[in-house]
Amino acid sequence: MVQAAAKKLIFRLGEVGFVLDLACIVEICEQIVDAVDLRKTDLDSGIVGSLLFRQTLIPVIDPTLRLELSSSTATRDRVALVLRSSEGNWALLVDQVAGVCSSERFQPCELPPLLKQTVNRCFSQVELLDNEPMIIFEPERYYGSPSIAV
Amino acid sequence: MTRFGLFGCCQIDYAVPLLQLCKVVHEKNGFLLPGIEKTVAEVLVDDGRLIPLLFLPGLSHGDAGAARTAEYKIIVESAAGLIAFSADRTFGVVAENKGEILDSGENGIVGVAGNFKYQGKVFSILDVDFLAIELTRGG
Repeated sequence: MVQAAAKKLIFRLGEVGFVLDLACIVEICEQIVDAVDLRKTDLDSGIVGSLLFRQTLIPVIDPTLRLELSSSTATRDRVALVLRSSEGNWALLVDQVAGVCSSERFQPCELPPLLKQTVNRCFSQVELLDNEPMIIFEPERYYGSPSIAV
Repeated sequence: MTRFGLFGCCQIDYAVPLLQLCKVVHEKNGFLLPGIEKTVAEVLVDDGRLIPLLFLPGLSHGDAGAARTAEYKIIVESAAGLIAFSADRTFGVVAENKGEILDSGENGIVGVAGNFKYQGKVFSILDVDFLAIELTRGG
C-alpha cells in the first residue's frame, strides 16, 4: 500500500489531463460496453448509467458533463475507473488511461489568481508533468462525501 | 518615453507598452483547462507558471483555433498577473515619437486604450490591466 500511495494514475478527458492517487482506485475496467446499462440515468447527479461490477450494480459518472468538456472517445471505447468512496464503489468514465507515474515526477504549480476564481468550480489544484498541467482529480466533487461544495 | 511592442493576429494589429512586455515565445503550445472563461483561449506553461492566453479585443471568441495555433504568444505583465496574447506577425519595438497617438474616440473598443499609427498602419494600444481582469472573469 505504501508503494501505491506514491504513484498516480494519469487519465484524459478530451485533451485535458488529470491525475488521481492510485490508492483511490479499485479496478480499471476496459471494454465496458456489455457491462454498462445507460438507461438508468440521473443527469443532475452526473450519473449516466450503471455498471455491473463484481455482481453489484454501481453508479457510472461521466465527469465531462460537469466539467463541460467534450469527450474525444465513443462511449463503447471509454474506460471505467472503479473508485471507492464512503458510499461504496462507483465508476468514473474517462476517455483514456495514459499511464501511471511516480509522484516525484510531478512538479507543484500554483493556480494564478486570475484563473483561480473561475476554475474553482471544476478543480482546485494542478501539478505539472513534463510541463503539461495535470488537474488533480477530486473524486468527492462527483460522488460520495460532499466535502467540497460545487 | 513610451515604447511599444507591435504585433498582429488575424485582422487585428495591436501595441503593448514595452514596460509590460515580458516575453515573446515562438511556437509554444498551450493547454485547455475546464472552467476557464470563453474569453480565455488556452493556458500556457512558462517557467512553471500557468498563464491565460486571452482573446484579443475584437477577435471572435469562437475562433479559438487561430488564437491557439498562432506562431507567437506574447506574454505581458498586468497588475493582476501574467497574461498572454496571440500573434502571427511582429513589427518590432517602436518609440512613441516615431509614430502618432490617435484618440480611440467615442466608439472605441473595450480594452483598447487608444491607437498608435506607425508607417501608415494603426495599432490598437491594449489596456492590459483592464483586459486581464475582464477577460479572465468572462467580461
